[in-house]
Amino acid sequence: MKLRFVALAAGLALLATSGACTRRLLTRFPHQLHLAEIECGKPGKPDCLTCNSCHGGEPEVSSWVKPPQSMCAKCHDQAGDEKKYAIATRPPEAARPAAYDIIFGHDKHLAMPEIKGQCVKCHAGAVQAVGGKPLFPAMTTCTGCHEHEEQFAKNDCAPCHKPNHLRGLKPVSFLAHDTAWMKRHGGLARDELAMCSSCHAQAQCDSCHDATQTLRAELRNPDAITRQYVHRFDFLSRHAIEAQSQPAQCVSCHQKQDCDACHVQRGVSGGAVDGLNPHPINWAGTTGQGTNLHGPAARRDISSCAACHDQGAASNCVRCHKLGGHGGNPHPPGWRSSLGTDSTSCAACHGGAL
Amino acid sequence: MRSSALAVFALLLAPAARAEDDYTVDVRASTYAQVTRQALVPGANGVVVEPRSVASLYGYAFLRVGNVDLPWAKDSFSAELSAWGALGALPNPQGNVGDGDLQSAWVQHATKRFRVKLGRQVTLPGAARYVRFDGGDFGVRVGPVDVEAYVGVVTLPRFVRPRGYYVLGSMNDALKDPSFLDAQARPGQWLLGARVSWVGTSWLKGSLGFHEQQGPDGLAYRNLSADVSGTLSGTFTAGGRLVLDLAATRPAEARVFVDVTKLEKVPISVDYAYAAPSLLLPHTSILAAFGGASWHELGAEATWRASPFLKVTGRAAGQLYEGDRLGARASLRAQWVPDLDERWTLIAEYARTSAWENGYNHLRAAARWRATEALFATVDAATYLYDQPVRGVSASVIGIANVEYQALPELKLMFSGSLTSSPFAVVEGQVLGRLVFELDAPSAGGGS
Repeated sequence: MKLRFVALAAGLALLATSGACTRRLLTRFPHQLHLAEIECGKPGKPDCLTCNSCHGGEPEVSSWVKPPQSMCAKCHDQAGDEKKYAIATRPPEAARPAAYDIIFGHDKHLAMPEIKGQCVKCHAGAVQAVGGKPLFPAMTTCTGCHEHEEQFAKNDCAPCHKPNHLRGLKPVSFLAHDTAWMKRHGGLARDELAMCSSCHAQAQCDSCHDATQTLRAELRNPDAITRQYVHRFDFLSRHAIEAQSQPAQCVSCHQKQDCDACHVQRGVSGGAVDGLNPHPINWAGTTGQGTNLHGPAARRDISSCAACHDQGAASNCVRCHKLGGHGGNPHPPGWRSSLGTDSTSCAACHGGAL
Repeated sequence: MRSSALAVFALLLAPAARAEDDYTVDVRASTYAQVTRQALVPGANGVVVEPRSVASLYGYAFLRVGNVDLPWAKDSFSAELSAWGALGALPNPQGNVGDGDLQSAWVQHATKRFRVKLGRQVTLPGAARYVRFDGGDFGVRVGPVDVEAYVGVVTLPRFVRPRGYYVLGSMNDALKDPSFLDAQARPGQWLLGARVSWVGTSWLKGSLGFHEQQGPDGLAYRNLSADVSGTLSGTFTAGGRLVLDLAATRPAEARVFVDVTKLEKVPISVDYAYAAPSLLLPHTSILAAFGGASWHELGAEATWRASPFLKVTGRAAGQLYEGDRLGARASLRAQWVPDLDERWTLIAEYARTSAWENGYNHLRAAARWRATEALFATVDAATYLYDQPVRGVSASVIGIANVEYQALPELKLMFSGSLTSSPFAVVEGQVLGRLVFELDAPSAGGGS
């Protein structure tokens, strides 16, 4: 039994170790060495290389062109003087992300007067890069041009992006989903629904915002450590603090009954039979100053009261605060409403006598 | 992979799905098996609750098709269907052990000028900020002006069941009895709204919207909202939003923000928010009419991209409540990807929240390791230290560990375990198995 366990552990360790040796860098080529450091153009030396030496050659280059290994072999001939630089096999490469597969004409852009055939106008830093991600220009480089700026303003992605690829892209140089994004994304979704829809499905909004799901988003995705979930970890214990900190934020997604459903069962709701009163003494007294703590608390955050005491016309608030009741007028100074006397909420206290 | 999707949809979309039609199809199905064992602390009136175990099975299905050509308009048809279901210890008024809901089911026809979307969908109006309804959304775009209108019946969870649902906490969700909830009839709970937007330029956008929603006992929300945002020379982006409650003739909510992107490595965002809690409640609530104090929040957030591998994000905000009471929230989070291969992702986080009665300090450390191209491991540990004990307990401690294996390009398996000690449970253990079938990986997006 013990031997089996050791064998299993060793197998897992071997699997992990072998995997750890599998690198998947996209850019591995020593560009600087080939473009700037090799002695070239002199008698007995090879021709100097440019970007086009390896990446050009096609009239309409839709995207990055990986030079064939035969091109390398022109210099790295294993039988010749360059034997010490011989390459046996091309190292493994990861699949290129869809973001880099755009509809693009290199020749057309290189011929533009602003670019003058210089690859580095867009691929700045390519010479110095050794390892790491390919030097794909930021999208702002494209939208800096008037034509593409207009397309972007109209949410017209098709001239550059393939529809199948849009869903897998993550904006990094515009609409970057980082700073203040969580705070801002609701408003943006309201304003830019068409743009959001080009990548996101409604189901993705629902995955967090649909409060009816029994298994919450962070429980379904415990591996998504980089995501910002509102209810991550032990939200139950801190929910009252969060509700106090940002009053009424909960109603963004939750209906008022969501709170009461739990509070009734816990016995801390106005709707619970034989419920435990969670309030301190003098909470709703009638003998003068300092004996009526609930008024200021309600004024501060009425939505917290609603978490237990919102039973419509049967709410216990009505008993004291109805017209003629001893609780007095609960409306704040300047209160006005355009609702008619027959509205349910008004009639509960006013009995239709506004 | 895509050809399989085509086979599935060929029956539905045969007239439109021509070979040259570059349409998109997403399919995702996920299954979760959850086992939880919890030892609760003494309940109400000192009642001691025995440790309980719950085993539940959940299923999620998602289907989306887009950019389908119709004979008279290219890329004009799209549709989405998503639903979830559950089996196990899920008490409900009917005494069944099953549950579920249909989240979206809509079809859309959109051309450059007109669009119509029919079925179960969501809208993002004013104070009622995320509303699901069964109905239609219609839009027309004339030059730089976009006009949208929607009308429908508000969707109730599980079609006709009451809204009161048990979503707080973790495994507690599976133990509650919602039988005390009132029955709720759907007729009369309708909504309608309209929105006029100026979308002519990328540097200035704005809109004016109206939303009315009826609850079971009458008017729930009647709002007028205005949004505006603009970008100045790529350096500043500023915007604002105001929601006016037309029934109370007072602002229910307002937000203003300014993003400064001049320093690419340190983008900064400053925001102000105002809210009147009573007006964010539906008017069918008696308590909405009781009024209440508004509150204000001023905050700022900045991200320092120290290197391609290290990102530090900080946010601080102060709140002003009625009676000059103050509150504060702050967080600092560092995310480090130490190698070019992105084999490791490490996160460290600190947060502080102060409200008027209580507050907490939060510490978190998490790591994700890509052991091979198909094997991932994640650990996540966190603690909350409360200023004032909650139910007599001063801290919550949570530990989570996961292993994920991509068996096939379309199939992922995950096994997760967690242990929690909190003011509500002396100890809570949970194991979760997840099986995800995804026909087109990009559809994963926000997950479901």
